[in-house]
Amino acid sequence: MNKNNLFEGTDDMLLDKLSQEFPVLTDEEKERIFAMSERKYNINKNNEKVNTNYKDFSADNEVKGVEQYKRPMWYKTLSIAAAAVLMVGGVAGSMMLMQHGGTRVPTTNIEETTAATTDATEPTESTTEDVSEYMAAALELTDKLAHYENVLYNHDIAVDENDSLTFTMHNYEGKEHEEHYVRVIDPEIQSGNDLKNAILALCTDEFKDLLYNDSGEYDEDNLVFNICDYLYSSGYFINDFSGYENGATINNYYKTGSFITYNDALYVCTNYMERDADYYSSEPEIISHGDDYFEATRMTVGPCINHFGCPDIKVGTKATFQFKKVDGKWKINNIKTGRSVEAWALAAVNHYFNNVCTDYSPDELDIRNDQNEDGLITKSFYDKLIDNYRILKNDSDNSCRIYCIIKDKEGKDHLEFTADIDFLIDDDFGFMGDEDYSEYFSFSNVSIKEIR
Amino acid sequence: MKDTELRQLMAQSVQKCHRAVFDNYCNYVYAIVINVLRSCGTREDIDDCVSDVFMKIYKRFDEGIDFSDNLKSFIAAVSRNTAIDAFRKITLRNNKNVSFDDEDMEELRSEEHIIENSEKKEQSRIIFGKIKELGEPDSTIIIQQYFYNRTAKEIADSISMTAAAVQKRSSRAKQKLKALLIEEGIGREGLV
Repeated sequence: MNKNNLFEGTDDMLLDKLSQEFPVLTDEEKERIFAMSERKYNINKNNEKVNTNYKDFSADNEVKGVEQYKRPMWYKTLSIAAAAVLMVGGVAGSMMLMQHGGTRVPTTNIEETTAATTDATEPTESTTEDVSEYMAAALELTDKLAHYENVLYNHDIAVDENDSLTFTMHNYEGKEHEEHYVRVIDPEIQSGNDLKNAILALCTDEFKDLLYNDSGEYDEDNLVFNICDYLYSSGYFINDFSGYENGATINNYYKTGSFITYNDALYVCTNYMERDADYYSSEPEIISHGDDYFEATRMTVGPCINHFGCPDIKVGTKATFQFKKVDGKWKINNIKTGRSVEAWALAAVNHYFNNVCTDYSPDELDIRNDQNEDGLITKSFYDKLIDNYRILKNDSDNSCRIYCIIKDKEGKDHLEFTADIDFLIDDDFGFMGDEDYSEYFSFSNVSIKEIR
Repeated sequence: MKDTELRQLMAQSVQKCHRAVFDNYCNYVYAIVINVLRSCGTREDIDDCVSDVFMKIYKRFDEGIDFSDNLKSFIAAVSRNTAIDAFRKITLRNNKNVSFDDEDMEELRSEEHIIENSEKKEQSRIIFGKIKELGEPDSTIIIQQYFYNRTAKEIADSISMTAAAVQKRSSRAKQKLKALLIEEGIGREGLV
């Protein structure tokens, strides 16, 4: 029987019937293909964004060493756009970086928690074995978490825009402003408690305890995902505006909130509303697993994780999710964060020109922290680089290739720097800048071109 | 799935929308793709092509196009076109003389071929009907073996039989199908 001829001429209608009556894909195959399609979609989406800015840039045509070349035309556009982003994000970014002292990689904690939750089950290193069950659970739970966090942070929830409320509010200085609210029509979330419970339903009891302890305070070091900021901060869900007429003035700025209830219905503020914000830049990767336990990593670009203020994050920060089976259902048992690729890459650039590069003195470049007479940093190295770089590619949070414009002391674009950077160690340290970070970074395929 | 459902899902979550569309149409897309690539592609080529199809579909969702009630037709068209592109690439890679070039496409559009295609469609409907007449598990064995290119072991796993039993049943079912098709006047060389 010739299999190629037997089904020759099969039209779409028959194919539809055949696929319904004789489906062939196993669950594992479906998950694999779905993950592949999502990965391609995300890569395509990211590439489109990068290509918009980098359409004239070809990393393959670089020449190592130093050479003269003319600044590409696209750079002007990039600088203007990036400067606009910097105005809103850069200052906050540098403040966060300096205050928090860089990203945290609490690997010790992860191991300890792993030991506590796995009991007798020995975690196995993932190879090519079947991890489809873990993959499916990781996808479902991390995507749900992202969805709810986008609801909380970006007010990304189904609404009826025709059912709206407007109140005039007074801020703490007594100035008036209008707040607009639209009715939430997501059947799953009809109250603040629905949302809170939906998120907590993803978590084990241990993780809930980490999120919020009995003293009413959360452990900031243990939680970079800022769920609890929203779940437990006072005034977030509790404001009931039913006592006010639509359009009324409310002389109490404490009552301003993202969600309100009005005549038993839930309304969300239209401020900061953003649809379909990116949350992850990669698919889950299963890194260890046992019968009732597994760990997966995923690069996150979401708003509820601390990327140290880097604007326009494309790669983001590695989150390590720990999952535990409770009563036959997988739940999130902890979330830890790894390196913020963008923040580490910028620290590496600062280190390169301070300690590695011999062709240019850091005194000629605007690469170091500015300090006042008292030795306080007035403008950090981070602020100087943050609007002029792109991560061209990355391997999780282990390495990346960066493209960066370095300015001279007059603030003019001086060098184009491209390099592969390996992040060498896991450590909890702060990037103050202008120090020797040789043990943290190694560089290869370095290209420096002068811009004139 | 209707456009309105799609919009509602998109409003809730892009991932949720992707998942729902994938779950609804993955078998259909897979069938269209394998129907084009069966003669030249590996399993990986087919999976790769199916994932390309969904990536393209998701991208079109982002553009906010109104599919009205034509979502299924749209998905079928994307699947077919992507599979034909993949066919060209794979045959080029394999240095096969098989081609699906513009001349072929033009030829396929000619009146003669429209008639021929319509005859083939009718024939494939009859063949499908006869395969179903074989009854289970033989229908599934033949479809999985000859349409989906599955191995005896894979088929055995899916219907809880041994590979040897699948091979034996397949051989008998093939003879039975041959007889049924000859009865219908479909017995041209190479087919059975």
